[in-house]
Amino acid sequence: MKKRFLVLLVAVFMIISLFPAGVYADLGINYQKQSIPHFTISKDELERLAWLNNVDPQELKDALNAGLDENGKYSPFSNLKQLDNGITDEELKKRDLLKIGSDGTPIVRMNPYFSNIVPAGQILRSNQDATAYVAASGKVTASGKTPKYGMVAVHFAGGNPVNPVIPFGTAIYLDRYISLPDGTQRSNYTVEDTGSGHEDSTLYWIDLFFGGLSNYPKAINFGTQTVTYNQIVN
Amino acid sequence: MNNRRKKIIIILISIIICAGIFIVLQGFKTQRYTETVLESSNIKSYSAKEAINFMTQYIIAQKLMEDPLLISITSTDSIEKDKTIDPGKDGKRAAWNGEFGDIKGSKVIVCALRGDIIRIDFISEAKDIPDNENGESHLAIGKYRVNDIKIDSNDKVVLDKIKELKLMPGTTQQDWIKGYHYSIYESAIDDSLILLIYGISPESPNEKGESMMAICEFNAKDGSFVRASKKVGYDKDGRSIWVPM
Repeated sequence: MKKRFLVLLVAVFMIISLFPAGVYADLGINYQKQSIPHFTISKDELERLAWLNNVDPQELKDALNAGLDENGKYSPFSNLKQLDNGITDEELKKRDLLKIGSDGTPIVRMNPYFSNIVPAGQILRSNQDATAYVAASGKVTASGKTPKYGMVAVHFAGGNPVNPVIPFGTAIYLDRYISLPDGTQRSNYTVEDTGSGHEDSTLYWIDLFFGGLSNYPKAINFGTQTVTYNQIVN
Repeated sequence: MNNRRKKIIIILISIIICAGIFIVLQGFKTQRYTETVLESSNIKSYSAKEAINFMTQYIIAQKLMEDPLLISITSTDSIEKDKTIDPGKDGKRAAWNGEFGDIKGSKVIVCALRGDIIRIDFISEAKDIPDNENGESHLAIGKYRVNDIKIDSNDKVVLDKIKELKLMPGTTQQDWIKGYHYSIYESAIDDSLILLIYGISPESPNEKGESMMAICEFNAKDGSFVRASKKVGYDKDGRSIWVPM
């Protein structure tokens, strides 16, 4: 009897010691209660989206239906691999210009003053994947901020989400203006979050914050794009 | 009987070892906090409002914008010559990035302050956006003058809150920041203007030796404390778990 009691005591002690007490605290956020509204998409529209973004239509359908991830994010294109069909980055950029928002205006407008010759203190990141995400209310970025337009997520290194491949707070300037859901056009962004794009996405992939969950159609219309940007290093 | 006694002794020794490790780790954390050296500033540093003032004056002096209004500002580690110990402990930092816009959304300027150096990193104008003949496109709108911000990063209430919460400065290689950082920005969720303070959790590192950050937020429009949270670990997918402080 004493032996069983001791074994039980040790088991309880070990379980408690595995987790810090704080894990049991409740932030009051239950992402599961928030969701992307059920939506339908026609076969034609699905195929057009797949063509624009150079992805497999069936995989796209699955990604669109995947819903929120465990961190309250919806980024359907971030885990979607592009087809290996020999399409060049230049052709993909042309397709990006064909993407239209729900209001009929272009999602992308190239920045005529963007130059591939970067000044000192900046690094050029060429032909990087870019996707867009919406987030559940209450989500904070990996850098601890409540999200806002102009923030982007990047890959993290070494399995550590607070070790982004581009440091938090770093300013980046895209080769294009993106129409954001708040009606503004923006080409300057700041790294504030990390994410886990698929393994074949480019090293300096960026995932743009597109606001709350109701903006999910805009993140879908943005799709995946091939962007070039300057990163400020000092 | 001997076997049973042996097992009990092994269990007791295990408990003592676990408790010992726990006590040593706690001691290490306490020591780390109390041994934080007061900063000896060797470079010009600014509070958040001082940095905003400096940047707006520079933008006006350069005739880049008549009335630059703040979109966001954040301190950064991006300064090679900053050898300050625990930068930000007094609410001031040497390096800041500020984003300013006008009230119409026709122009955005990103300004960088690095100690004695100030520079313009980026200028964007709505008129340069292609296919904008009808003027339907606009950039981020600047909203705030420095006088609209009722709390500064070096205000006593902020520094007292850092002490009360025992927020530690980033000091080790594993910590994602050096010292303390500050940011003022508008939340996209509820349009509130936030003064955010970054530090390291008093319970960092966690049991896996990982650095755990912590944040503290004030409402920048009225100076009231909003919330504080600390990171405690990561879920199976590597995503961070936050809890209130």
